[in-house]
Amino acid sequence: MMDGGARVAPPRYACTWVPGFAAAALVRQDPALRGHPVAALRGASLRTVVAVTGAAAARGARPGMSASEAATRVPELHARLEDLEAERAATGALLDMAWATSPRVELVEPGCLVLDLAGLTALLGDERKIGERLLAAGETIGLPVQVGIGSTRTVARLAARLGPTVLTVPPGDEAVFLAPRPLALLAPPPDLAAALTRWGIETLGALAPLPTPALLTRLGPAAVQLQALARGADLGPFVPHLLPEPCREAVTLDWEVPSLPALAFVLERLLARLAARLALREAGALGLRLTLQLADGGTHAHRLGIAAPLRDGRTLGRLLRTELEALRLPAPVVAVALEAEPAPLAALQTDLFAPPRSSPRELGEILGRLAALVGPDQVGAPRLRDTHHPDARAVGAFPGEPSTPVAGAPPLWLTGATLVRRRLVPARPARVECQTGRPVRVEAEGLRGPVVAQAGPWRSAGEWWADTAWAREEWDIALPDGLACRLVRDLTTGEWAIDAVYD
Amino acid sequence: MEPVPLAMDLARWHPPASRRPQPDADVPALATWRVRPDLGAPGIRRIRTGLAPLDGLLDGGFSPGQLAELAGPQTSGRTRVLLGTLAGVTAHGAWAALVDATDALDPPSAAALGITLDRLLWVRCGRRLDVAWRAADLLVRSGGFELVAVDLGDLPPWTLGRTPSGVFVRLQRAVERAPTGVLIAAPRRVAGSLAAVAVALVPQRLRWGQGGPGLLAGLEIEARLVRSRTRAPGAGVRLRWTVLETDRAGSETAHAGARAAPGAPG
Repeated sequence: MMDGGARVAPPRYACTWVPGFAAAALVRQDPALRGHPVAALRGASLRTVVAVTGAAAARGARPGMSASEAATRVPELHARLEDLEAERAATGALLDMAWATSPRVELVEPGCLVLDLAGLTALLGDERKIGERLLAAGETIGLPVQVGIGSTRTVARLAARLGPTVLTVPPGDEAVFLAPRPLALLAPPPDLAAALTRWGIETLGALAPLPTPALLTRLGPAAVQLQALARGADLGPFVPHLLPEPCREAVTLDWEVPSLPALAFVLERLLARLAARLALREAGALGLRLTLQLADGGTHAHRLGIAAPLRDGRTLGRLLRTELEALRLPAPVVAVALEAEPAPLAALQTDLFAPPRSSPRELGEILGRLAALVGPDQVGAPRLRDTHHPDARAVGAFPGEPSTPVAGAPPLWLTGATLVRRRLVPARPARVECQTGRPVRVEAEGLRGPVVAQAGPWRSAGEWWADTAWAREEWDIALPDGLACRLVRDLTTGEWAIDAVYD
Repeated sequence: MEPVPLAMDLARWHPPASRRPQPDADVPALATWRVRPDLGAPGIRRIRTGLAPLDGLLDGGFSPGQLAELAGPQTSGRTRVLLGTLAGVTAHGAWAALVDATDALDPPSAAALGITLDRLLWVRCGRRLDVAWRAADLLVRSGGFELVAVDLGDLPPWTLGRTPSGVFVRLQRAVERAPTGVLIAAPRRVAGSLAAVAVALVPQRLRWGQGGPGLLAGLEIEARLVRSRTRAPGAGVRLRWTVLETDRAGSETAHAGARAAPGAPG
């Protein structure tokens, strides 16, 4: 009996497409170009236009034109060489945008992604809302995204190319939607396009009903593939993009920057874009990797560790400036790349009855500035290591993992029955006189005199199985001036030292 | 019934110093004043030290928004009072920060005393005093910590004396606008009149054990109020502590080393 099987919803896909992707990536890199006609050029001497923004297209510039022809048609055109780093960063940002909506994303071509919408309407609302969400995310990452939604990836891709914003093709309406669309939307090979034009076939609706065997016989397999696309079918399986993209932004400078302070505004832009991408990932940066390309061909790499995940661009900028204050470079900078190491933001559960605490952003900034001041491994929550090693002191992330309170006796800080140790770092080497194996006189920096009282020894050893083996003997001693301290002897070297004071 | 103005209401809890009973030299101040350690002025949060006599001396504890000082030589209980205060802050869920100028914190001691380590931010300054003050300033201005403790450890007087007074002015201005208390522990007083409260700790007697796990059995000290904005300075209390015995008990079961009993042959 098969009646009890679960019904499978028909697949739905969304496509996000950035018109003139190479040019849009240039605009994203330099927001001053926004709204202006921009063309991306390729080639060393004879430069051709490979992509144009909407404003340039509206004035008559087209991909494939020579740079001079485009400049003639659009006198105010901003023509720049295409920047592969910028395109790579824009692709990463698009993927972040898509992954913030759907876990299954296919990278079809640069600037074009397809998202599997299965099961998302219950989480995010209807398809229109999903489309608007993608549009808003596109605005966040600085790319002019168009969205199409359909039952197949082909329909979604065609819809994305048609709509200025969000175009949804309802299930079952694919044929009606596709029929009037020009064949040129599928970008057929020129000879095939010429043959079909000679036959008078100029729309998808005219190609779709033709008998497939006859088409194969007369025009070959390319025509059959084109027909399948005209019917809205997908030619291959959905191949999700699985590897996480590095959260990296880069810029190639038009001029050489001689000093780091002058780079501040470049870093601000990069950090703002990184912050937007981190927000889409619901993450913060636990580190920043800065790579500077120098005019002499060299490269300088620098890593800024951040004590707590942080994604506020301005705060990250302050930390980076503090970190780079003392840096001196041998040559001017010609390109800058900044990569964030994403990490989940620290979750802080607020308590109605506990005192207010810093927000994760404020805490991250404070920890970052403290780390810049004292060093990243010198600030954090004290951590107990599972060892008797005398130098087993370490710091961990702050705030640390909550420990389980021990029930029973009241804490010692309330009972008063405790005296604590203060460590001397580094331990003070001491000269010790012994009688019958017990210290009777001690000399060390700031400490000198007979031992008026003593207890011990307590011997401990560990890690005998490794090169870090240690063994020592401890004594509690008192000096005539009332100082009580811990005297230790390294049993491997026989040297004495005072490593703690009772206080 | 006519409502009592706030100022009068507070005055009822804070009688003028002239009307308070004066401490007798032979009687501990706590017994004379009969102040419950957890009872400060109503509505005013206090940062307790956890030591009832000392909290009594301080009207319930240190106040947020104020600069306080603990001054005392080594083996005067200064670290014990400091860590006890940090333990009190972390025990009720707040965050505390320890600016450790000389990297002197012993985490096992701190944990044994009751400090919730995951709520304590430890800033190790490597004996750099200027860095310690800058770190303290950052932490106070962040406002997210109930107590910022600055432990100046065993820094010598000539180093402490090099601190520009502007540091304390800046710190005091910052703390009075923040819901944070600042407690400076040093071998001698450093903040002068900018400290709202200062307690001097003077060791009185070391007590030695008889055959216990450690020779050093305890310490008796006198805590004396040397500066206060709410009561006449000069009052003092006696504090007694015993040595932390868990350190020598060797009760740990999972560790990377082995620990012998006292006196056992090596």
